[in-house]
Amino acid sequence: MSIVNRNFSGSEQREVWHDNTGVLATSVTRPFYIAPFNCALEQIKVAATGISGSPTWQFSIDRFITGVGLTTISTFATLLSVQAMGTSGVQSVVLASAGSTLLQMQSGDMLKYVSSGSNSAVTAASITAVVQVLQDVKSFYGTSVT
Amino acid sequence: MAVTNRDLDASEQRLVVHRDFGAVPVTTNRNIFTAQFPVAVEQLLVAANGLSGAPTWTFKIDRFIVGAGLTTITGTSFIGQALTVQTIGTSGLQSVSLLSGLQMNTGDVLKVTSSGANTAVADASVHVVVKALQDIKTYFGTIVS
Repeated sequence: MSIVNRNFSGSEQREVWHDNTGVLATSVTRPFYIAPFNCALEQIKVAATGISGSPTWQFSIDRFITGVGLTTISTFATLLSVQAMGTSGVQSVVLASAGSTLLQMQSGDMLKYVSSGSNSAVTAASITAVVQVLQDVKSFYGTSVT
Repeated sequence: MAVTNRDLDASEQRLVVHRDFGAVPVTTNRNIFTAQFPVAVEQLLVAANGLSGAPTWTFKIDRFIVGAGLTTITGTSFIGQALTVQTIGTSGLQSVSLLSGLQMNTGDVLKVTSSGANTAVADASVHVVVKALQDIKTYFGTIVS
């Protein structure tokens, strides 16, 4: 992956996406991040505090294609049983094997998560994803930059 | 870690900042981000879920100047068009029509105000693409070395 006059090292090809949530009750959908360019999901981490019951989170990707509509892809991630950071430390979401096309996000894809679990909630959580950029980044959300 | 001996490529001059919201009822202000150095706002994108009614979001910039106080910059002549929010399932990712050349100073806060009687958004994600307008040697006015 080159940019003008040099190649990006492995770490320069990675981006970290981050978001915090306040109280998250059950059966709530939260957007996490919209991919600005094509990239591959490598890691998703969750650090939560204040667990009530046994909440679970399912990460998925919303992809909108004009004329086709919205498709939700969730087979790339297993259901996460959210636990407090004091219990388990930072949790990793189990993703499809590295290299799987399921992990590839297109520009405009929205990564989100949906909470579930009866009578459950999370008081606060921090969500972080590591992605690998799959192109020389010349466009953001389909708009080229110069 | 040196970048002193080369120019940053066009894409390296861009930053993507984002903010995710839970429920946004009507007549609510939500801050999106504070500019850490002068930037040009190039794109503003919204993905929303769970609409009630037809909410409208107006984007604004809050600028505080010591001695002068707070100025809120808004309107089509200064920021751009208000957005009639639609769900991502209806319209995909929505782009806000921004004024060309929109710039933010260090410390400016980009925010959004919702309006529309009896409207709300259950959750939304706002992403902003900005272009840094300087060699980034300062963050919030503090020089880095």
